[in-house]
Amino acid sequence: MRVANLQSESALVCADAAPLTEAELAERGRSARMRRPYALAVYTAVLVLFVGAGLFAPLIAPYDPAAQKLVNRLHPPVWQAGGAWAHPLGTDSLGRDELSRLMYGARISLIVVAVSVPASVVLGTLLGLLAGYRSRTVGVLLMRLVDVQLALPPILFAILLAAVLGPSLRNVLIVIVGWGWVGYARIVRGETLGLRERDFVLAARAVGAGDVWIVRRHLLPNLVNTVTVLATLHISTVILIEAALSFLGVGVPVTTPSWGTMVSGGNNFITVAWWLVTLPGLAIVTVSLVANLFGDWLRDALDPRLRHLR
Amino acid sequence: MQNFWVAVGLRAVQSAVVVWIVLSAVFVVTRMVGDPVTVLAPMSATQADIHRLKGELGLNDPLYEQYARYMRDVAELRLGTSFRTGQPAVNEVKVRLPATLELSVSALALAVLLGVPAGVLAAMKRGTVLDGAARLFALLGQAVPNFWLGIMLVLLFSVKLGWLPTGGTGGLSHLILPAFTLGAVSSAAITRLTRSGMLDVLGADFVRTARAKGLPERRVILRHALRHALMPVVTILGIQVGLVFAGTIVVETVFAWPGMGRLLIQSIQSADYPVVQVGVLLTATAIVLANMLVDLSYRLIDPRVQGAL
Repeated sequence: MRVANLQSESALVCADAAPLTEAELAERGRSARMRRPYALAVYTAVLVLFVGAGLFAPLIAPYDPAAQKLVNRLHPPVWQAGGAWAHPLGTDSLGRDELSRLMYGARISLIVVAVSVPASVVLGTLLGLLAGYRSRTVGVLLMRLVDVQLALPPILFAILLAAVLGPSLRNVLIVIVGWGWVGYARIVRGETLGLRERDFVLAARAVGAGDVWIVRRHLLPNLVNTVTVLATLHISTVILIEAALSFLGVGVPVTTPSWGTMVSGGNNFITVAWWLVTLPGLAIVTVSLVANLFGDWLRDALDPRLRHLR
Repeated sequence: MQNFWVAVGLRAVQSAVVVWIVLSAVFVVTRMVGDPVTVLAPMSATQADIHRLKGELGLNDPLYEQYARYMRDVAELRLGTSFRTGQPAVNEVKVRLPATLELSVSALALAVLLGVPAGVLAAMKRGTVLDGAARLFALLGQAVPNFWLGIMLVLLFSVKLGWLPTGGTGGLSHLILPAFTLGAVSSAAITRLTRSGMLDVLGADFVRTARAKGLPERRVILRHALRHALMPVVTILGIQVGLVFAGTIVVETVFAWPGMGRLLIQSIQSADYPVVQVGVLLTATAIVLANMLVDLSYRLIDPRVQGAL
């Protein structure tokens, strides 16, 4: 008899995918028709802005983010007294342009998201499928790893890695992927265990279909919805983790303009330059929030129980 | 009742396994990733020192020997000396533990004291501005990074308004901002879950019975509905403890709170590796223990919970 490890049962489901309860599902059903259609447009616009800024920063940023000009230090944003359009969002303590640095910071966040989320998805789904469909041993090992993952928050592991290897983008990616794949694996395993007994799978096995065929044609398509929603919500978490690690100095090196390092750098000047801390933080909150809301919307859209309301 | 003690035993074993895995992970990272000597030797060590240390620390021995020695050292709590102060690393951490506990417990208490009433009110006044505000709070709580929240609060309450100090310890006014920052994320999650738990419960038959009996609404809510609505909250409490412990690392840095988390960051910055190791191990162990306790208490609260695979 194994004691229900309720913490791991609800662990990442809460931290990442925040399952909707019956009450919330019913609420969503009722308000589905009243849902404002422009919400999705707003989310898409913000995400496009984020991706665009990150992708094209070297091309469209007005200044080099590392260009120091001490004469220009601590200029406020354009809407405050002393601000100018030359530096619309102000400058930092070394005279570097905030707007450009924010765009390059978006680039860092984008890189982290673009690498770590797909990597976690692939790794987690593969192992989850293996654990759920074929190997009980892998399944048991997986559950142990879930426990470990709960005990070792990414920050702790990042600190350990940074102590040994020094802070770097690579460390951030290792930590986030190493921590994130377990959540996917756990849920994929659970769903696979259920799907395995469904009629269409049994029928396929009866006519002699091989495992790879079944996975490709029957299991994966049914998993895509869940995994996609998880991934969208994971994006939000990833951005927050990278920012926190960089803020502490165990993420990207301090010299790299990431939103996290910008906040930690600006912290020394909050009495005279509030924008140095506020603006990067707002960027983090906005992108994280929009990714979250988008994930919620996606979950509603893909939920078959609500389909009849469209 | 016997079942319960069997469960305690099993859960303890499970937790022990997790702690062992964490210990091994720390060993792997420190000995096998990167150059262990630069990590285990103080920065002022010369080449001759390093050579000597290599022998002393047994870094030339086969890995399994090093591992056995490491495990024995951990069991006897011989975890090295701080490079910075020369004190045993364990002492450095022990001294700071009460401060971190004070902060974590306050944060969790605050999270529950704020989150549960907010969730209940939101559920009772569903559809109103109050509900909307609570839901907005819950949503933002998931998206706002705690270090930024802390700095913004300092900006508002210390710099602009001058009501509260910017950091350090010394009394309730010093505790409010850090505790609130640390507890905010958990508070948001608790609000959300309490609200949806209440919504679930308010439509249930036993609630209608209670109302039909003529009980005052408050009694219906508090004595009958709330207990059931709190179930999901207790479930996530374990995760919240882990998140809070992890959060202390950040919040203590922002508010210069003299706890374990801040020590961890300072030690990284001063390359005081033994202290880092002890801090990581202790934090992980604390989280595992807390999870175990919450899991077991959940079984006590809801006797229907069985062992499941």
